Amino acid sequence: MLRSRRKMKKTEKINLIPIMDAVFIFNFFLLMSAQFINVHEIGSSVPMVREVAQVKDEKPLNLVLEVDATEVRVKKGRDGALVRAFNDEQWRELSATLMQLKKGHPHEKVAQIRSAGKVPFHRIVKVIDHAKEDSVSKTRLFEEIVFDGKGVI
Amino acid sequence: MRKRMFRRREKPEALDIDITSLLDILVIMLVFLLMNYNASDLQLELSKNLEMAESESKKITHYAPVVQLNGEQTIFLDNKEVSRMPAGEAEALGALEAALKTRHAVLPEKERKSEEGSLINLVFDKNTDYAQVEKVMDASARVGFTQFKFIVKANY
Repeated sequence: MLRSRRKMKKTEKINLIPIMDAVFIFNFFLLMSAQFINVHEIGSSVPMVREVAQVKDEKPLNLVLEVDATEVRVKKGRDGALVRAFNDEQWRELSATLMQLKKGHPHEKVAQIRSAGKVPFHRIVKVIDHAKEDSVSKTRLFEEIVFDGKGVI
Repeated sequence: MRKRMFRRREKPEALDIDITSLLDILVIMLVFLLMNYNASDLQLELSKNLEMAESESKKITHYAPVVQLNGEQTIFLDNKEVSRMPAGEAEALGALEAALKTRHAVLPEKERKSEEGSLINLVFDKNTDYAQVEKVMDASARVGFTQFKFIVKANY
């Protein structure tokens, strides 16, 4: 009787070399385009050169956000009637007021920023953020930010 | 004797390197880099003493001339120092205007007249007073760069 040696079946290996090549190249591509400080932009313009599609609105909102070191004043209308002033602890209330104004004028997209000279830039950015979008509900508000060309208040 | 002569020589088996750990690292790196991928065509090199303001904006930056005003109120245009505001504000802004004029003139005519040619990226230190910000915007607008893009740091 012949004793036959049973051959062990070799496990099949997947060829990983092509995928590794691709991943390696992809890694280099991503390394070159990676930005470790996440930067974004906020668009704005000066009013005298801004082109706006003329929309007939008998009562334009004319939203103006006046910023100084302690408060933000929301004004509206041709005469610049004060809606409300908000201090540094009332950012949520500011958003709520802007949302209400947006509801009344859904086609209005422009918010004008007027600021005192001594206001730091980060405060202006914060006001712009609140004017553009409600951070909680993510509702888009006044997306076109225009700086008042009349100088500081 | 003869049997030994014709015995087939056994082929040495190819050396197997375990690449599992290497693959693990590559995949982790891939995910990490994918998270940091930025589709923007703007290469921003921040000048010294400049801390960007934080914002919730998610708009991707675009290529355009970059004006930076750092904490020491030094003005840079495309990473080259143009002037220093403390030395004299009027001269500093005049120098910026002249530099921007040259930059604007370099643009192809078609681009100069289009909206693309009026784009300018502005990077201000977060503590810069609005009075200074306004002066830089004013100098840019006078030259023809009227569409301002404030470059900010994401805070989410």
